[in-house]
Amino acid sequence: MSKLYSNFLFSFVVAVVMNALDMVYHLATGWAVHLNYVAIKLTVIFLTVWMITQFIGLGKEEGIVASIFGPVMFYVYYVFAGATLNREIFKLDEQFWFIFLHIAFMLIAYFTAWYFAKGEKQLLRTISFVLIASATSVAFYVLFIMIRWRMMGVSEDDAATLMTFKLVIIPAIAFIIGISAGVVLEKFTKKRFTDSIAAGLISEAIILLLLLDFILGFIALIIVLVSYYIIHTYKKNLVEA
Amino acid sequence: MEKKNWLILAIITGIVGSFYEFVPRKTIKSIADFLLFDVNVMGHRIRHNDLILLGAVLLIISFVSFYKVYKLGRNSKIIKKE
Repeated sequence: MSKLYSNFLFSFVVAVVMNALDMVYHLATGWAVHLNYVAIKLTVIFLTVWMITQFIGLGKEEGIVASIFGPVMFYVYYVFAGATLNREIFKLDEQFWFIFLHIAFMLIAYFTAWYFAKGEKQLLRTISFVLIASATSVAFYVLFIMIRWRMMGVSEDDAATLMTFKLVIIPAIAFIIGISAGVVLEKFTKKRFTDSIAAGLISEAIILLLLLDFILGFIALIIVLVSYYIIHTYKKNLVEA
Repeated sequence: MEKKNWLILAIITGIVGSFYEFVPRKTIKSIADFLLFDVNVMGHRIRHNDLILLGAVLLIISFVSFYKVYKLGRNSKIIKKE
């Protein structure tokens, strides 16, 4: 598999995990999460990490540089772009101090993803995996909901109002429990794919039981399987490199 | 790519990126209308925010190119010392 594809997946995971941490924080503290802003944040963060990883390399220095530069560029975009949401109703993360929070989330995302592939301590690698797999799944889940609303014709303002912490906390817990159970199960069975299938099914069952939504449950299963594929593919290639 | 080419890329993308990122729409319009790309692309109208995003992308390319120049310079210094 090419270095380009591996770096692409690694950068994608970093951008998605950073956004997941950011979205959960925003929803927990009453700040708006809006599809267009998430899409731009994902683009800017992904491009920064991918370009640095592809053309310079992967490591501690590169991680710190990407973690600082990505959020700074995103802040610059915020400052110069015209407002599309009503700022009197919706609180957006455009204040200067958010740069530091975004840098912290980027550092967590980059070094967790990096440690999972290159780290030496097994326990820390397992914890890193649970964190990145859960965060990736949460981000995909939130993105799915926002895109679903957009396709249903829900207005931007309504979508920002509907997106609350309650909506994301149950799936987040379901993904953490499902993925942790998958990791434990794999330790006992030692069989390939047991972890991903178990993680997906457990997450699906929890969401189905608590939210009583068959589509969301099925989407959760697909999301977990996709997250596993992305994370294991970039890891395999980084280990071989 | 060689150090010189990275430097050229960094400067060009830096200038164009800064232009679209930091120069107000009115000023760009006063220079030349076509610079605003005020057209429809597959049903999507190019807005000023799209140009600002383009500017941000070009600035990222510029920064990474400068970083690459710095890295190549540092590596060649280490090789010379050895």
